[in-house]
Amino acid sequence: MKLSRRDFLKVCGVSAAVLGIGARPFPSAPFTTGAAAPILPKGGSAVLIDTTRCVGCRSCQFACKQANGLAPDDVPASTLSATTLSVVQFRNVSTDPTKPVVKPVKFACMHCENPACVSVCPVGALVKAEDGHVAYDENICIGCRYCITACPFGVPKYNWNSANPKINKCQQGCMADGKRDRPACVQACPAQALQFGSRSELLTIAKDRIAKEPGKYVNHIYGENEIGGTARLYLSSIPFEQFGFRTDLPNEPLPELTWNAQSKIPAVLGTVAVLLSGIAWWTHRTERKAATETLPVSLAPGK
Amino acid sequence: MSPTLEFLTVAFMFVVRIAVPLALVFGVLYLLKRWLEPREENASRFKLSLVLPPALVSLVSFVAMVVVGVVAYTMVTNQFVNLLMLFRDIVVVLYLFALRIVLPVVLLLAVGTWLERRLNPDAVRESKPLGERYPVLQRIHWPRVSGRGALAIFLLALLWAAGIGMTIARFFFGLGYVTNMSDDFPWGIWIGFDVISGVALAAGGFIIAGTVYVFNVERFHPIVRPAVLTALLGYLLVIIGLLFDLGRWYNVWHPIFMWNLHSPLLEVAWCVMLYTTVLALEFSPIIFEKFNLQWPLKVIRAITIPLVILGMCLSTLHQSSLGSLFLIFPEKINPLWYSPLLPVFFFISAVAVGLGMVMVESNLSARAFHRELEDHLMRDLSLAAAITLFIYFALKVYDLIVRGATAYLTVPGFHSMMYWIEMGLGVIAPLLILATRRGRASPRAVFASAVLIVGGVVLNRLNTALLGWWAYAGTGPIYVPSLGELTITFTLVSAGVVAFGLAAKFLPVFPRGEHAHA
Repeated sequence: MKLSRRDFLKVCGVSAAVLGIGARPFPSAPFTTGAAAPILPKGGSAVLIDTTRCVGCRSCQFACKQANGLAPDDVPASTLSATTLSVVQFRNVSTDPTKPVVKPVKFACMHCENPACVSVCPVGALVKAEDGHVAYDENICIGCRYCITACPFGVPKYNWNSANPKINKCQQGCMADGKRDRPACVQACPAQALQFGSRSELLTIAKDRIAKEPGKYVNHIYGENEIGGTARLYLSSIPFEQFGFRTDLPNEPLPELTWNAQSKIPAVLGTVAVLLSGIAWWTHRTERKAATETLPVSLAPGK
Repeated sequence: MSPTLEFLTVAFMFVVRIAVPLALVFGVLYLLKRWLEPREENASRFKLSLVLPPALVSLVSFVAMVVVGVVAYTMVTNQFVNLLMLFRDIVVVLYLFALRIVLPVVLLLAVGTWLERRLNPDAVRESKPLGERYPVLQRIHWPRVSGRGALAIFLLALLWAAGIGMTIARFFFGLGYVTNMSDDFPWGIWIGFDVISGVALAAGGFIIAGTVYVFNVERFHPIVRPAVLTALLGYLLVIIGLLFDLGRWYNVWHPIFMWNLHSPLLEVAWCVMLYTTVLALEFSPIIFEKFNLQWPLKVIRAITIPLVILGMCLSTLHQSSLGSLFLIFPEKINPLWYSPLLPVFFFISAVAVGLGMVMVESNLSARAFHRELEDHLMRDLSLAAAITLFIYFALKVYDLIVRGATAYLTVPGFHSMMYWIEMGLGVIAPLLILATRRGRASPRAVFASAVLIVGGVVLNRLNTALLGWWAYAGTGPIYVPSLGELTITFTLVSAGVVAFGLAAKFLPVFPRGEHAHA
């Protein structure tokens, strides 16, 4: 990826401004900027996952564990969990039940462009970082698990057997120390199935691949438009529905559903307050006229 | 293991295994001796009330010692479970003792008594009170409790002991230890019932307070205080329930300072905080009256109307925002319950269940405290409930038709069944009863329909938050609340009932003149 010095400085300036305005009580680690910080791709980073190239070696799964210092499993995990943030799933894609066909697919946090989890977190423990990943700060989190409920992909996982539980999901923590220029899973892939870059660039690359080999790929990039787009883009040779991806999701960002209701709160509050004050003023008019006592109404029990 | 720790363990085990049992045995022998010894007539009799305070103090200090010991041990060894294992044999022996000896003896005695009464009815006529048969029992001044009261106290003690155990387990080991929640079912009955239903059930406070102070309908004055008390207790229980459910409960204050305005949960948190404060202020005149504090009473009376208006605004916001919680996952909930109008439905049904709860609570407290039921008020309330239910019902039907979700009504299965139960028993049945003048005139019919409304709205909340999710209509694993979760829920509910009873007994909650005498 080419990035001029001028562009780099622009990005730094914009990030500083964003950070300054969006200052929070406890900024999380991924927010630190400085000399050691990697050069961020313009327009938010993303990962392109070409499932046709995946050989199912699970290198990305192990690399993720190693980079994040997570406990290794005796048997490689097949689902996400509090100690497995990235997983290779072997899904049966056959339409014929008698002849199973198994295909590997890498699955982790989709880092949505408009994440439901970020939208529902009451305290802002989850934020869409400006380099494109969804960051989590356990020091802010209250453990309400609304994010687990809201995530359409079932990504956030919880330490159910801990008195001090956290939300566990990919936060590109492997890049937080600034020693990597791309996530550990991308680094580890021996088959070029994973590619790290800016989202717009990767979308162009993906469209190129589909255009060059229309017979090989399904003409759809999963994550381009789903729930307003995600920062994990999938290419596939079989229909995504058959591949076990959720295809029932709308193209509109999910947070809008809540915001439609939430944005009406000031109006409702104002209307109710004015209405009730008016009613109270009207119903107490005779007592005001009488004005024998300072206040005729009290919380005293009736006679 | 370090020598110090070894010494401490041995000392601790000596105390627990040898000193305490010896002290117990000698103590019991000494007490028996004192009771059974013949004494002069005027000798003071043994009074339970004299023994109780020192016994309580020793119990509390014992518990404190155990807690300190456990914390110290945990900090030194970082192994809490091992500590429990040290006492496994004692628990097993106690369990076996109860199962093999106490239970058979009690069963034998019960069967024997029953047989004796059946075979020899004359003996029953001759039977003397227990105190005369065993004079030693007369030496104890038992608190005066009826048979049913004793049973209730026993069951409550059992429930609360289990509740304390579950509380310790939940806060020491985490949610997974006590609950059946999982990553697939991150919200269970604590959210579905304790919090979401709890807030709805406590809606009676703002409705009655608003009727009296904003709409100035004076005749509802006698039921303001019980309604506000029910609401205050309800919200306190919601907050306690929330503390159980929040994984990082020690961060519960974060919503005060850290805001995400997109989250309906932030709004609910703020409104619950503020409204609980408002309710406490609305309730405070009762305390001030009790202790005859004049100037705070004046201050509160001066701000009553703005306070009630504030409470109504807050209630409108968070009762509806609880419905907004579910707007963000349309694909997870059956269209019978998911609707963009969820906030509106939650608000209207909260008004209905608030009225229902006031009626239920008035009926129950009239029965418990031998007061007269305010029949004319119940009639007015039931008319209001009927109107609210009609609006709710009409809007529900309209919404189903507009969204084209009526087809789901006839899909056989768990969801359509739950929907028909909820709407049929919880909305249509009470609506039909209360729509007629005869139904509203009969206190029993009004009480029955109020119970139906309460049950229907609780079912609606459970359906929306839990049972209406697609997982429950499929064949995969589902969440069923664990015994631990149910124990905590029932403990909280019973604590609320007991607190209401105590407040009604010791505070001027009900109108003067016909004060509680139960």
